[in-house]
Amino acid sequence: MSPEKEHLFTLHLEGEWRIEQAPDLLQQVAGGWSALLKAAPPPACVEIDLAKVREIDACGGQLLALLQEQVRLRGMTPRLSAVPPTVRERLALLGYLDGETGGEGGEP
Amino acid sequence: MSAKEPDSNDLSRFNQAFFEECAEHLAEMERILVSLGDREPDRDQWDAVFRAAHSIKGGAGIFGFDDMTVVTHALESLLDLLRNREIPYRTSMVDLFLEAGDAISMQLAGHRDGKAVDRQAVEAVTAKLEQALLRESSPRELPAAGVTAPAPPPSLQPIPYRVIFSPPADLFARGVRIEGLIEELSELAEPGSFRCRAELTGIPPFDGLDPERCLTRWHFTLTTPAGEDAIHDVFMFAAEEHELEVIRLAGEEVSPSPAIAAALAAPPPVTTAARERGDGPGARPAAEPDNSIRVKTGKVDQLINQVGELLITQSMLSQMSATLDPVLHERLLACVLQLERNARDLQGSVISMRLVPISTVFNRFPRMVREIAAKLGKNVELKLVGEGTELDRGLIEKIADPLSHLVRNALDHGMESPEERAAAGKPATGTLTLAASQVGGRILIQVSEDGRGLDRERILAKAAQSGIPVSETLTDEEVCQLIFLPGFSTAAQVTDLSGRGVGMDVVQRNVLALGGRIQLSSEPGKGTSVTISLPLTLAIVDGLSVSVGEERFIVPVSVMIESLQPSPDQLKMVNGREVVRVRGDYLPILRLHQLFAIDGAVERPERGILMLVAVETERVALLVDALVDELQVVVKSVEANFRHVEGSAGATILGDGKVALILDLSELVLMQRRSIAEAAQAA
Repeated sequence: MSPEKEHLFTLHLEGEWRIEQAPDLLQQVAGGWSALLKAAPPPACVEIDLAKVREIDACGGQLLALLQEQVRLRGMTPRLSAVPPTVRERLALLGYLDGETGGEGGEP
Repeated sequence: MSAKEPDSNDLSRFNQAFFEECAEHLAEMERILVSLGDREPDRDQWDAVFRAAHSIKGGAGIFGFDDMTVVTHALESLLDLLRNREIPYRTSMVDLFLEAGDAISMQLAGHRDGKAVDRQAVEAVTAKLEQALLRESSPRELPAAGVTAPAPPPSLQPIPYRVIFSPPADLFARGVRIEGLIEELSELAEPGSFRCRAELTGIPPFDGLDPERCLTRWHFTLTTPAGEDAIHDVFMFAAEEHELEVIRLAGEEVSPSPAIAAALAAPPPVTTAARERGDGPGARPAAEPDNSIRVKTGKVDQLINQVGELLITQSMLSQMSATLDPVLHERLLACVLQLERNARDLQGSVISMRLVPISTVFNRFPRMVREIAAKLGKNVELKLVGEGTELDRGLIEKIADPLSHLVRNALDHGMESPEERAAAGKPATGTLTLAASQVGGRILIQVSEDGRGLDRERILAKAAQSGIPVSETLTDEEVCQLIFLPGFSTAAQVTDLSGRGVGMDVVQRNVLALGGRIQLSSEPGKGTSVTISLPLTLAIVDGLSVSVGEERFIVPVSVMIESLQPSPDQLKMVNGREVVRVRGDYLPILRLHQLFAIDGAVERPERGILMLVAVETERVALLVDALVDELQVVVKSVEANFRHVEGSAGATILGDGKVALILDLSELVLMQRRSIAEAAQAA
């Protein structure tokens, strides 16, 4: 997780985002979140880099969605990047992809 | 990294629910298939069989039993084409479907009980289903002879639905694979019509967040011809009724036919919840929804036990109040009487919760009869009567094997071949009837056939050959009872179906162990009938209270023959054993006071009472001081509260607060034999 530009903050996530790893995932997110809150000046956009996420299930998808919502609540714009195809497909199936990332996650 | 597994108890609880549902679906599928005979299933039957396969596949996918989804997928695909008449039906397909059902049952037993699964058999049946699918769905010119030509598919109109799934917070922790569920739902949808959106129901801070707690509500839209029930089926194992809302979007049909458009235009969206309340157009009658719930049998047993305690307290109260002045305490006594009535009603209601219809056992026989008859080259029609008769779940489980043996016997030995029947002037097809009914507090189950009947001369000859003393003067009824003797079999040839010579005595022993009785009647050339009489429940025993010294015992009425006060000349010693002579028979005497080491009891039989009881194949005489009362007693476990007391099958608490042991006669006979052997050894 590193501030790469003045207005962009990147959170790098990794591992298997499955319920079996839920406590570790929460730790990973909380650590990144804490770093994000300390960034000065606050970034306008938060990039969530999923390049190293190997797998994801509904529990992991929910945590990712919570992260994006927290970012929005702080007035920042979340953006998923480097989403592996299998992870994208799974997030789309579960309805956790919003309009920005396309897929089948549109408003019913 | 500490990977946290979902709570294993939770998983096991939900898996168990799936196992039970899966077994029910398999039984239903088999029931329908076997009932077909040579007929082609109608649309409702196809739908029911398809839905059973579909539900099993869905549940297996959700709970991660992927091996089960493979065979069910192939089965479901074939069934889907058949129900839509896209491929022709052949009667031989029933055997294939039954075989597939067996494979799924085996897989189920593998997951549920850890039993071995014959993977080759599963793969073989899957391959057969897939081959049938390929063969039947490939283009054909004309249907072959004996094949029902497919009718045009019914016009199933795709209808758009909105589905809202609001799962419980423990959805993830339960191990439910929502992905599989959504995939299955998407498979119902017309191409391009499926949408899914996950909505967070809250956005808690990360500090203190439980990451396994489900905070998502799912919204789906889809257009499907499968119907609302199919959507509910997808969520069958994951959602309670109130967690799923299925809304038909009436105004957005995809090119509806004019008639359907007219029908759909009128009603506004009606949710399942609204329909259940009966407050929307198209509401179903209130009685239609299945209002049953699943309750662990342990909880019902606990309730029965608690009601038993209540009855004992009520009985004590009645006994104490009996000494009160009826004029002075009129209102109190009326209340005690009312309490007694209410307590008995409550007991009846609670006992009825353990009762299940005998159809759960009877349902296995259509297939068994079909297969055995085919194997033996016999034509048999099975008639089931009184399938709704209810009896205790514990008894249902234990009566299945004896009944199976009787059915095998009837088919193998009782029923003649079509040629023999024709020669005897009987219809080529024989009738086997399984009937159940409730008579008073007992259940009668009858297995009867219109076969050749028992051969009196052969039974007598076999008995003589086996060293059993018989005479020509025995009545037909007495001759029939000989076949219940151990090792007795008149089968000319031992087959793999029955006739191993270990049959009817085992059946009788099992029935007696359930507090039941068995009777056989037969008429040469007209058939044989075996009647089993069982108590309604194992939780209550009809018993006779007897006193021995200061102690009381309960003797189950089911084993009693008669009681008598013997004259001194009826009492003898035979080979060092004390016996009583009753109408020419010598019955050994069991002294309860000796077996239970009770002081102050009547020791001379001519001054007490001898109760003649039937224990398996023999009769014995119990020496007691007096007969006290006939009553229904609630069976309590002694082991659970103390330890096993030899010679007892449990205990009960009497109205005066005393504990009385319920006698286990078989064990008492063994105790007596051991005691005699020890005495002989000591001498």
